[in-house]
Amino acid sequence: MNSFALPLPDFPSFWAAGDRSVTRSALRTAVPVFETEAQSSSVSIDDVRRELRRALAVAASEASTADWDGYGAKAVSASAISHAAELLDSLPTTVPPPDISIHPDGEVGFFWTRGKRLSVAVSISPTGLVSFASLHGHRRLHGSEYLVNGLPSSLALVLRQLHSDEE
Amino acid sequence: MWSARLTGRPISQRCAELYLCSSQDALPQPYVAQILTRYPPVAVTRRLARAPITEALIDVRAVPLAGLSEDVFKTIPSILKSDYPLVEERRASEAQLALEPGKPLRASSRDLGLQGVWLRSQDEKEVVQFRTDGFTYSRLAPYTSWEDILPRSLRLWKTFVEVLRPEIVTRLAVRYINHLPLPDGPVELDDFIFTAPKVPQGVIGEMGPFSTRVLLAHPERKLQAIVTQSIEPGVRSKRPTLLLDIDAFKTGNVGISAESIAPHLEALREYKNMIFFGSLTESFARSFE
Repeated sequence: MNSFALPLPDFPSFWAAGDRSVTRSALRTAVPVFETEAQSSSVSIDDVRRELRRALAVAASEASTADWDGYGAKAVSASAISHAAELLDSLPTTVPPPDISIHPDGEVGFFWTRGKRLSVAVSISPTGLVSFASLHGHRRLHGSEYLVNGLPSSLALVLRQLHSDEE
Repeated sequence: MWSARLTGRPISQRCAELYLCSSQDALPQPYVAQILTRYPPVAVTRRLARAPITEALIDVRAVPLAGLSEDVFKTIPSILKSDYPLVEERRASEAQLALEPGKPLRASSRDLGLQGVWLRSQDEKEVVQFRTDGFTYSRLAPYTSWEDILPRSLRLWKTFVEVLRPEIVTRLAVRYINHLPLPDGPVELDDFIFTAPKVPQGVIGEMGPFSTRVLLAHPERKLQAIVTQSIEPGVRSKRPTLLLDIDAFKTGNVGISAESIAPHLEALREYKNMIFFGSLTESFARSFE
């Protein structure tokens, strides 16, 4: 079993997007979101989420100290990882999994691509600012929105442009 | 027809009114029509030509034979390579991140050993997990049929038993994950599903996205189900999607052989269908025919 253990009292928002309460009852209700093992293990949802958490944890552990790339990169911060995990949890289950990386400025990056001219790059800052840039044929879109309550609507729009089957 | 549909079901206000209509011939038709308009009929269980199933899986949890060697997993790919040529060994790992505001991130990870092997068909629509703690067969979209996936999974289970020789089966499950597209724009959810949460009494306003997870239990047949529902933004189209994930399961000793678990899987599938069709209105179900 791949498990990704985090100290619960420190960051309750990691488990439940939008829930920033720190009361004991809030912590208890937040826990089951992470306990997917109780269910039968699906390939399309549970396995994808488990692998994404593992990839985020691996990326974070590799970039947890300054100069992790040998070129003076900043260490990834705990809050950037927390916001990135929150964004992962808010992705619809129909969105293909992104590639995850840490940027030299200490932000967390997600990247989706579909063919040569369709891609979306997302950067999540320690303050929860989600910045994105998308390439859709010859159209380029970019923007930023704070991660406040689930998937930012502007990011949902560019992800739909990337993955939509509609013309 | 209404009374037949309602027999044995919990009598909610909706059912009670419908039952009243169906059992008393003297009720005026306009009143019956009014009730039926207010409460759309429940979907009838049947085969849907365009079933919104994105993954159907059969899951068996088992206690492994004591002292099981990791090497036994290496024999499985060669046995099944004609149907499942794509092989991936899975190792379990534990990553620990200490997240403390204002402090540097502390990260550590450790390898927990081989977890099992994942086998995929050439088209990657079928995935079989042979794990130390059990077996899972998944059929990804497009869904075929129960008549197709049950014999396949039982054959694979026989291989699991022969190679890994589990001591006991502790849990059986039939799980269906459905993504049902809703219309774009504001909708009255009661026109589509019977199981949506409600806006509290006296509160004015619309309901936004929701996520619910409910544990159901069938006391007579000793079956349970975890039912997860959520509204997700549309990705393949503008239309939002209703995720309806039904994990019907049975715990306890149900035997080990394929012959002994098959009837339990059939019962779980029937229970899953009751929950699925009982969640949808007939008109919504019709959109998947």
